[in-house]
Amino acid sequence: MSASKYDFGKAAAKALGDRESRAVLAKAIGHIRVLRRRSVDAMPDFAERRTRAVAVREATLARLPDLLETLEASVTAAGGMVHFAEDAPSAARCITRLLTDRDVKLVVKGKSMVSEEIGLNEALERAGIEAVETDLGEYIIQLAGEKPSHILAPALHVSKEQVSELFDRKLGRKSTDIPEMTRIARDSLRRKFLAADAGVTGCNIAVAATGTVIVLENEGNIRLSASCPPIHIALMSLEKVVGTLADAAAVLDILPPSATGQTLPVHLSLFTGARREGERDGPREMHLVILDNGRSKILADPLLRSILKCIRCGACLNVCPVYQSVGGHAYGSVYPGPMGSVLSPLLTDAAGDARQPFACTHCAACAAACPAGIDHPALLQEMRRRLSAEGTDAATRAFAALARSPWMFAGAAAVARSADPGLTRVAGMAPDSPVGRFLRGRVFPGLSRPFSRRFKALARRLSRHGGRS
Amino acid sequence: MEAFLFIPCLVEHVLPQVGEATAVVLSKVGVSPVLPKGQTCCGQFAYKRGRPDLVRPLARKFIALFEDARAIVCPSGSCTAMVRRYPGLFAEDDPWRARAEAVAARTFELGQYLVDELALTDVGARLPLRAVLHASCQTTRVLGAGEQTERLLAHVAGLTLVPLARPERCCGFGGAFSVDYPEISQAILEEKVDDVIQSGADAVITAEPSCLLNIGSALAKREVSVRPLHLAEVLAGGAI
Amino acid sequence: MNARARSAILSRLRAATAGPGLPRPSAPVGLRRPGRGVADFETFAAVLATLGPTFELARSAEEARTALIGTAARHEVKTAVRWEHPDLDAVDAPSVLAGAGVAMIAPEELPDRVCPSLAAVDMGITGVAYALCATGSLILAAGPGRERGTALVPRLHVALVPRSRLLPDLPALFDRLAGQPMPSAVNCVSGVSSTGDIEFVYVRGVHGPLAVHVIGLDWL
Repeated sequence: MSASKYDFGKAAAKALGDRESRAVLAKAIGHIRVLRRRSVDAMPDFAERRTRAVAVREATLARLPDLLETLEASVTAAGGMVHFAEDAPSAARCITRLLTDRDVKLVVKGKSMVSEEIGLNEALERAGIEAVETDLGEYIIQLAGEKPSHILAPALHVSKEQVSELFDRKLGRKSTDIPEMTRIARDSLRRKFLAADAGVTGCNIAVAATGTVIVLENEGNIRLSASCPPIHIALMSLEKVVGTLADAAAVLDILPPSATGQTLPVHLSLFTGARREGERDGPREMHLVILDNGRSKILADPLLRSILKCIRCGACLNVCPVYQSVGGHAYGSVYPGPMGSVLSPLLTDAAGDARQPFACTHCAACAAACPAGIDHPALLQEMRRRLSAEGTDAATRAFAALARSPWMFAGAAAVARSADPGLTRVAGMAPDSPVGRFLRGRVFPGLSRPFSRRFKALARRLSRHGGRS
Repeated sequence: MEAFLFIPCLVEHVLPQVGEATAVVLSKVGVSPVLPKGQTCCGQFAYKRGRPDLVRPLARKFIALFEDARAIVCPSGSCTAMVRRYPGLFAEDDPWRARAEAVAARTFELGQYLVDELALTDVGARLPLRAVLHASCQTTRVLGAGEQTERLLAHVAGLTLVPLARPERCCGFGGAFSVDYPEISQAILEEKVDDVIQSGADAVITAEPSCLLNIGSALAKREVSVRPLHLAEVLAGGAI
Repeated sequence: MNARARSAILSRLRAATAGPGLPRPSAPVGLRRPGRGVADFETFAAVLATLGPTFELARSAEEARTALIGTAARHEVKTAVRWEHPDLDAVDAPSVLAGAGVAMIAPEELPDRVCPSLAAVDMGITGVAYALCATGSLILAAGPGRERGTALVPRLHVALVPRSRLLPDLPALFDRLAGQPMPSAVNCVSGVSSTGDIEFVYVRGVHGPLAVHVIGLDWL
């Protein structure tokens, strides 16, 4: 795990102070909640679907190198080219070079978290290539110069007033009507699709047996990005592969409902290689870039490898009370929420807070929602254990020491009770101490005469009055 | 019939009424509560801070203390869940592991004990109130004992459970989380309290002492007159 | 450089999967969800109606021809691009539409860069490989004379779906696909392009066609 100076607590506190953003986020989370209630919560066979999806993902991890080699052979047989990249810089370099070698000036991009991970847009910009995000949410944040705040709904934190202001400033088009703003974006991006020299997309699932890249979307921008330009580059992290189309079907049974509450997205596309003999459109060149960036190391870690089963549905984010409160940007890394709290610190070029695993209430809503059967609480617990090898705070050690001795434990409580039963003096003197922080929004009932001291009399009373009422 | 009381440190020193209510409930159903001396803490605060090594000595003390019990009853889902983790703290060949397994198998959260072990759902309780149930994360999702709480409450005479918005949502305590990330903890707690107030209930019931403390102390701060009640207190309602 | 990365990554993965303790699949892999098995126009049309596309059922070639002309008129179609497809031929679609005053573009008339040439074309008319009843999906498979842009760039997409090409659901489709070489593109289209990216307000008609009309061919 890489050391990091990023402070999630500070970023979270700042985010919580922004009432407008909190209101937008709350509204979005509310919508997602309704979608979940209608879809996965109402699905009678969710458990069975999850069992199948989990089996597929476990099989992937067990056979990962074979699957990737088969995938490579299948893509190649279909007229595509496969590139392996060890880390973010080399992946970005590989794609940039590919494009500059072919004199590409304009790239249209479908949403891809991996492309965020490798900083592709920045690399392309440095090389003088215009890269336009075509997913409406990504387009909005690109115009705003921001980063995505959710893995599926990148502009979840942006209000319609903010979009209106943005379109006015950057596109010279004024409107506060959402359908009209969508039309404005459509017109603006259409020109790009049709003129682009290359399209870069992500990959939801890669099928080894057929060399197929499967992408899910509602807008149609990925289809356009992969179909119109003469070059298609698909970017995936190495764990996204499954064996066969039947395996992919198992994942597709659970991914759209968990992600957006849909049975199927509007566009489910299966791209296999380059255009065939006699075809007039579709890419002449198709490239698949497979990124490691620390994942092979995660696979070698028996206690943490199950995070690689993730299918990027976003369900864990949506149900996490921490994510719901602070939004995605506070995490300071590409992947926020529970899955991000596990994955981000483990990636090679990890951004964000190395101590992110501690920012968790252990509520287990994530594990309950995860369609891939990932036990985030257990993974986070293991990460906390490893981080604690570097030392634990004095309060925890002191409390543990006290707890080893019943008379010391009781004695300490008695002292505290006589000196400051409501803990108000401690809170007053040290407002930033654990006690001080706890009491900021709470009225503490106070340390009490211990239960064990009351028990003897209570037991006598109970035995005198008999057992049953 | 006897059962040993496993009293969380929070109950011992801050919420003794929960311990009293637990003893009363057991007595009501014909189980004599026994309180072994020398309990301190189950150690979950250290475990969740990433120090299972600090929990091992506490686990050994717990095991030694409760080994002779036929049943161990605890008014906390989180503490019960912690004891269920004790076996995993010891190596496969460590004799403490088998001892931990034996004790863990006999440790029950109150609702589990009544419903699963004694096959009881009606303990003759009466509490005429409109209340909401905050289904604690540890009791429902981690321990899997949420249903037992519901079934017991369904048989409390005069008790009307009204719907709580987002009942499965965390109260924001999370142990050390509340002091490590106080702003986030506060924000999550506020929403829970808002939901409780919005429900129009006179009381909020939970089976988890830490949730009870967290929600109760926030209600007190806001000077809202909704009564925070532990499951045990509800079930003891109407008793001597 | 890529060769070095490739072998480094694969050898690390081999080392990682060589050891014991890898999760063995908890259930037999390849088990599929039992499909509902229903494949009829009633089911298909009912689901389609919830998704945005419009549907009409033609019981004869004559009815289909009327439907085509009506669709073109309703959507004020002046130009259209088409696929080369037996289902279009079965209803004489190219000549019927030309006869109704629509300027038709055949696949062989398309220039080198197909998509830009379709920017101002009003309608794209295609057949389908299959259609899925459970999800109201049109399955478009790319091939010579079956351009991707035809169903994607023009503002209206019209698809002819014969009864014989109806399948129950996605697993049934994947069963069919597994037996043959994959086309360069298979698009499963369920509805009209939409987005909820601005405040979760759903807008139909984003980057793909603004409207989709399906004509069922009941006798084929």
